Amino acid sequence: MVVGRIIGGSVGDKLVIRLKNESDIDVGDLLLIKDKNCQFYVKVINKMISSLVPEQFIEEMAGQNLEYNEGINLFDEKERFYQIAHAKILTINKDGFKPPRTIPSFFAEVKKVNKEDFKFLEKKGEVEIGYLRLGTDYLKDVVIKLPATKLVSHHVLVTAATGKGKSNFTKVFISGLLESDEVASLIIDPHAEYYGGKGIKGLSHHHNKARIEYFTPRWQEMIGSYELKIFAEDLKPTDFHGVIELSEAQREAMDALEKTYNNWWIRTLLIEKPINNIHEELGRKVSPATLFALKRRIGYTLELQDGESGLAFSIRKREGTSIFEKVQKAILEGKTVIIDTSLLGSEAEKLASAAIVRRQFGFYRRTKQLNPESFEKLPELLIVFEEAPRVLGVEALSHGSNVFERIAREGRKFKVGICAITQMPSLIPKEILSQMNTKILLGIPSPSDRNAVIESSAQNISDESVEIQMLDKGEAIITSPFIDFPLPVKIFLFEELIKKPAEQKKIVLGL
Amino acid sequence: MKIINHILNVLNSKEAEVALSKELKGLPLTRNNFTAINGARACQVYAVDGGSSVISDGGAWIIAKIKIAVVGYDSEKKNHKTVSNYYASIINKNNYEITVTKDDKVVDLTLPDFNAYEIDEVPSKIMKILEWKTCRDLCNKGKKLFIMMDSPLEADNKVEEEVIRHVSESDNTVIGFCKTSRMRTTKGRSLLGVINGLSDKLKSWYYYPLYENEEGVNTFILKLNKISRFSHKVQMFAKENDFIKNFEVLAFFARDSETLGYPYPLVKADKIARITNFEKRKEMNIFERELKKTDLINDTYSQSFHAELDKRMYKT
Repeated sequence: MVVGRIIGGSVGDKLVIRLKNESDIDVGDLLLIKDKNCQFYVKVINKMISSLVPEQFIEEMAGQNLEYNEGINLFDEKERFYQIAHAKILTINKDGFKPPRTIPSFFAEVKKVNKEDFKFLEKKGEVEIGYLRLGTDYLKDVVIKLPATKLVSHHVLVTAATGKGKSNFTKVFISGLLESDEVASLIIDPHAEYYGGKGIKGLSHHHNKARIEYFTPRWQEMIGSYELKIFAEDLKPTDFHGVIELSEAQREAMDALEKTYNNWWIRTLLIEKPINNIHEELGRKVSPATLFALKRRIGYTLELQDGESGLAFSIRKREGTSIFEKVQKAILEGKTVIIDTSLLGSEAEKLASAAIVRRQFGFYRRTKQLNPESFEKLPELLIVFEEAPRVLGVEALSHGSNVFERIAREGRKFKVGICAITQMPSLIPKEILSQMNTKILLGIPSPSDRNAVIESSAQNISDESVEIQMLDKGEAIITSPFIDFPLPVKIFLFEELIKKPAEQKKIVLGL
Repeated sequence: MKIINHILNVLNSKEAEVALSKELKGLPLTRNNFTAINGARACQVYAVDGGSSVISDGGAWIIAKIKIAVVGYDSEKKNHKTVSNYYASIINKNNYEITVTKDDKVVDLTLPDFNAYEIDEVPSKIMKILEWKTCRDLCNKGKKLFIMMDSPLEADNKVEEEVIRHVSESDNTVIGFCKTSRMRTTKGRSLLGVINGLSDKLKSWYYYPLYENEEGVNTFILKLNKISRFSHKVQMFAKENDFIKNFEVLAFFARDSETLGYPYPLVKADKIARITNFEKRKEMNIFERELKKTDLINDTYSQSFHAELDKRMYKT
């Protein structure tokens, strides 16, 4: 259906389209122009009213109506008063998709798109996340699929204001990953919303729930879950680096403690020996004041409720395998591991997640260096975490580098990627934001946050600023080097997605 | 300003009567001659208008483009639009030798003697004849048509007279609607201005009669919207016996908010027929290119020095 004709534009700027009256076109709509043996895929970025009648006469007409109750009567109204759309060229299809280096001719027909125009998207990926969105509407026949394996190690940023659907997207995305053997996920869940439970639909309702392992302090209440318990004997001083604020003296003290007491350095510091004895055993190299401060700091962080064990940490002797090994085993099997940190305090949560992540990243690094053949067989690993600025923000990194930042910078080489979820991407340094090659943008009202993601995106989305601001719940723009252009998507509703059995879902989604 | 005071001193504000027009004697002006137009009536109407412009000027010859537009409206819906493009060559060989073409074919057109006019006035005279011929063709095709012409129903020459007579005898209503008028009172004021001043409190009206014993054509002053500042001279053939019915049709088509009080179909025909500066420049370039293939181009230099100076002095 022809909805307009080209009346101007330039390659570097935008196309100007005279819209046909009553053509139902919104900002964000995708349109198609066939001209010069090319197909131009364009997106509406702005819309305005215009007229052949000079502005001063339009003002006069409105005035006549307002001041004298003179009705506004218009002959040839559709010719004289109409809408203009500004559109950006997303891509040009001429024997394959190419970046826009030309524009359509004057008066080229502009049409609405249909499912046939997007057949090429079917081959693009394997993780289904939603429908192709056209402004506020969407094409139910065109399912957007992301290339999971490529995308994972190149990092993902999910950003939106509260209530715009970050968690829903993540659940939908992980649901898709659960269908793949090539990707394992490690989800740090500070709000206990991903696994699901009483009244909350989560990944445990997925038909592939056998591929999920859930670690929680409430393991006794959750059937099929595992205890989240980290034993102090498994913690190294480096687990604390960049996670809690430590002075140089305290860091040195930790190293000295570990060197002297090995795996029992925390237990020794906290309960086994008086500070003065430790001071002596460390050869008086560490002052008692530093040891006292460190004891308070670690004790506070570990949240030991009865002096020896808390919700997530324990300084007792471990029996059985450590949580790190359990998580690693699950990951090697390509499973999704969810760590419920919702009951932990801020520092305990950071320590627990950093320690677990650090072990897995370390394992991948070592495997690559020591056993390249085994490394090739490892699944891609995606680390998912919320409130990303707490570990990747400028403030957090001012305390020193941490494992999340290292993965952001180096993870790609070791098949480890992060999926950082945040409301405030502007708090994350630009160079880290730029490392997150795939961005899922779900409605960002704050100009500073919008600018941060626009400036660090793989594709130029500066024209989409208004659209990003206006995105409604579940509406997203996805930018990625692995897709041809910034994709407007209506994300599936997770609750609806899991209602359908696997085979039926494939039929419904038109595959 | 002194110049305005001078006009005011010369003109007596107490108006007496309509000034003589041709052989018609004007009548005294009176408020009793106003009739309100209260209704608005939609029907199928046509509007005819033309535009002309000199494209090449060789001093003793010119080439002009003439466009004649016809638009038709059924209520607010445009249902007819034609544009005819003509070119006229006018050569001054003591008498004007005129050839008119359309689609590069010579048009069989009887033209009067235009020798009394300057050469650059002739295209508009030819245009008027073409407008009337277009009107006649419309009248020949249909019955009970309502046609608006953008000119008075007065012939300037025998050719026009013949065409207008043919039109007046047809079974159609033809209205001559003038954008402007130089009609005046015996005291030297604009007739439209004085009548407008007399008409206060009326919404839409027509003023009639203006002259004693008008025959063939009746002349009116008309205002079709209370907000509009403009009134217009309108003419209708005397055979019409229901003026108000026709004015209601005009009132309906003069409701467009952009040009309140002026029938929109005439606005549209004017827009279509008008030769814009852009179109003129385009045509000039085409003809210049062709003329350069002959030595006629040298003739055009006799007339283009003003433009040359403008280019050099004002960078136009």
